[in-house]
Amino acid sequence: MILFKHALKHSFAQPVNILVIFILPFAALFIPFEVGGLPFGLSFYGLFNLFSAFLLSRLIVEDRSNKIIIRISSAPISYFQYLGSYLLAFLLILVIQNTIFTLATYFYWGDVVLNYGLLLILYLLYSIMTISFSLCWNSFFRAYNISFALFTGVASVMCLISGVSIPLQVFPGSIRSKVMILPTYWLPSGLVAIYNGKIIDVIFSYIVLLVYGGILLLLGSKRRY
Amino acid sequence: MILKMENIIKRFNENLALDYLSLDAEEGEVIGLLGPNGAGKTTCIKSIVGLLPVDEGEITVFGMKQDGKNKSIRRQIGFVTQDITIYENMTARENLAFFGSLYGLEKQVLKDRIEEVARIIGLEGRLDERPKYFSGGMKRRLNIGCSILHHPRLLIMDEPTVGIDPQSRNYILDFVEKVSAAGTTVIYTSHYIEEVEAIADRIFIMDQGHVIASGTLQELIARIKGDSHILVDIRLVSEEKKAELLTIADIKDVFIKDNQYHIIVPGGISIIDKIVAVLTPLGIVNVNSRQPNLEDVFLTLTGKQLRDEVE
Amino acid sequence: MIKFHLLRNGRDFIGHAILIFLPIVLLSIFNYIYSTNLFPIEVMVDSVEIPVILTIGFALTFQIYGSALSTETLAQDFLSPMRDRLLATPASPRKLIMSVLLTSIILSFLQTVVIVIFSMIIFEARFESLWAVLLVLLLSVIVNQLLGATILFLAKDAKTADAITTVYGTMTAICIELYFPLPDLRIFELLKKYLTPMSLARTAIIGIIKNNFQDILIGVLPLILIAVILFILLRPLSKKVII
Repeated sequence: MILFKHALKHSFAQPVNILVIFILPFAALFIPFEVGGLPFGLSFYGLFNLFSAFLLSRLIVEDRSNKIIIRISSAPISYFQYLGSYLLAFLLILVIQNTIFTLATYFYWGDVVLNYGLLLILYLLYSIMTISFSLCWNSFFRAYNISFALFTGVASVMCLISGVSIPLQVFPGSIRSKVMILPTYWLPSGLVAIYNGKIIDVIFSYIVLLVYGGILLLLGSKRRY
Repeated sequence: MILKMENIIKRFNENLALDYLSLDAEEGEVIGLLGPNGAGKTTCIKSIVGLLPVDEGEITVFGMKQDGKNKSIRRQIGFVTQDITIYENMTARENLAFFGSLYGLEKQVLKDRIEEVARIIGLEGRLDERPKYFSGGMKRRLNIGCSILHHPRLLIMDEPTVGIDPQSRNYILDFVEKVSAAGTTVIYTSHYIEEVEAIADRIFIMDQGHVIASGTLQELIARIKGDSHILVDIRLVSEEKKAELLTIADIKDVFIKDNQYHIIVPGGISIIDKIVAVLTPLGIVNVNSRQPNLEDVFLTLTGKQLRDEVE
Repeated sequence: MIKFHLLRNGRDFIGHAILIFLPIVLLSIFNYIYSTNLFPIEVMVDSVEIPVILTIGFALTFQIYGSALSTETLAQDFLSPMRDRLLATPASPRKLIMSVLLTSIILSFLQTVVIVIFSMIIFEARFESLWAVLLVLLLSVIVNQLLGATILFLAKDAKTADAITTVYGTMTAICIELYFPLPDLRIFELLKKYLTPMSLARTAIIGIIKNNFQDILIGVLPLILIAVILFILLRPLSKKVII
């Protein structure tokens, strides 16, 4: 519980986090155009969510670069406890973000999305994936600024070609089939499925996001001092 | 006199960092500046360098008033910062070249001086490597090297041996002796009393923003020379026993350090039997007495150990 | 001093790679998207070619991110223990700051030139009066580097300054409709053309391409004014970290 609270406290103590996690994403709501009837902002929100997850996971990188991780390791706390507490705290923050965004979407866009419950679950599972991705990414770096600099590039391009920040429809089918390998692809894919009412496709997106989350979590959980 | 500080007052908001501080240094002297954490040592030396303006009092360096803007003073001061302030991604040579150029050295003069300083600090052969691959001791030596390129008349060293191996530390102490023999005045702050004992011509002991004692090592020890120091090693310390010892007449003071009672009594008084009677229940391992040293002077004057500030 | 700072900033290979390759990658992707005509977004401004518009947009956007060159360097020098060492020397702190800014401007401009040349070679983007376009891009670099330094001295913290710059860069790129169109409202039109340094630079460059002298003046003159104001502001603001 101590580490969980510490992670929450640390995350809320950064003004940049408050801005990027709780204020900026809502600008996505007001993106005026729709793609296939669905507000594009619902997909673009995925970019903000990804960066939010990355900012939150900064604490883990800093613990490593400041060698605090060594101090924590010498305490009677298992590494699993340490990581689990932090990740749960980050997930809680993103769940709050997702909930507020979904509610805001309901009030702003009304009945354009058929099922807000499915939308919320999609965002939750996407958040699990983004946290795991950020953890995995950061596990390869000792310095946050280098990690962030490279992440900005890779994440921007990844979101671009997977349909998060540009509609998937602009890409020809041959490219669309290849970008399925990107974990971020399954957010716009899930959104389209929700809009079209195809529950099987929705559940498939959920499963893929969960699987990606699990794999990235395993890769990123390796202890690195 | 190369440096004179008279009744310096410096405040940070409500905190009085320097409280009528007075200090002086003659040419070629090595001045040791001792004090516990928060004594004001760093504030004092930053004021000398001109990094911090003072609220009252006057600082004169090389006969000129230190107002923070005098470049002529800065050209003659070398400042070795407590933190290692070098560019880790630039080679040692590039670091030396850059800092040397800031003091007006250039071209062949700078190049020759870089080689010379590299020999002095023991980094010849490593000049084209980057400090991020150096050990802590080597980084500290480069840190010093960057401060001496311009042959400073006054070299201020703020805890230059923190966190380094004994070999590098001895190197630095040797360096201080050599540079002072060549005529450079050195102001050396440290937490390590044995360093100051080894190299300082005069010592200033600071606490709470002012100098509480100054003089040569012999002069400072003579202040408490009349006292005997009885050292009793025991198995278990007890604050109650300390209080009990203090009730014995003729005991001037008692300090506990690790598993040792350090008891100060006036010279010529023999009360070892009373001391032993009090401390026997704790399990006496050894009883010893010795001549006072600088650490004893410090303890006596400040009531604190240098590295472990007692609240 | 300048040589040292050029060397120091020049060695930030990761930073340079990101500031050159990322816009090139994004340029390539967006060029591809618009060339397939699958996405019915109108991005042409009058009859200016898509590759040119995209090149201008991404070059200007990444100039803003490139202000991190001066922000990070100044923060390392003046918001860390290095400050004491530097201020203890007889070197003028303002000269040190100017040296950092000058070298950052040079490097950021070179990055911009690489992007423009890439676009000209690979996408056959045609820039009328290229020298004039490059001059405006240089002016924009100067404004962005000065702005980065100003934000740093105001925030007194590199992380905060970086965050502000990143958000500013993203928002201004959105304002010029680089990623998606905005509603047809007067405010968005003004934002796109006149209300940010990026939009002013863009307006001036498009004015050069289309030989519209009015647009050139409307873009360049306020940019020069902003640069002068920021330069003047640097002096009192730098005191916050020097003293």
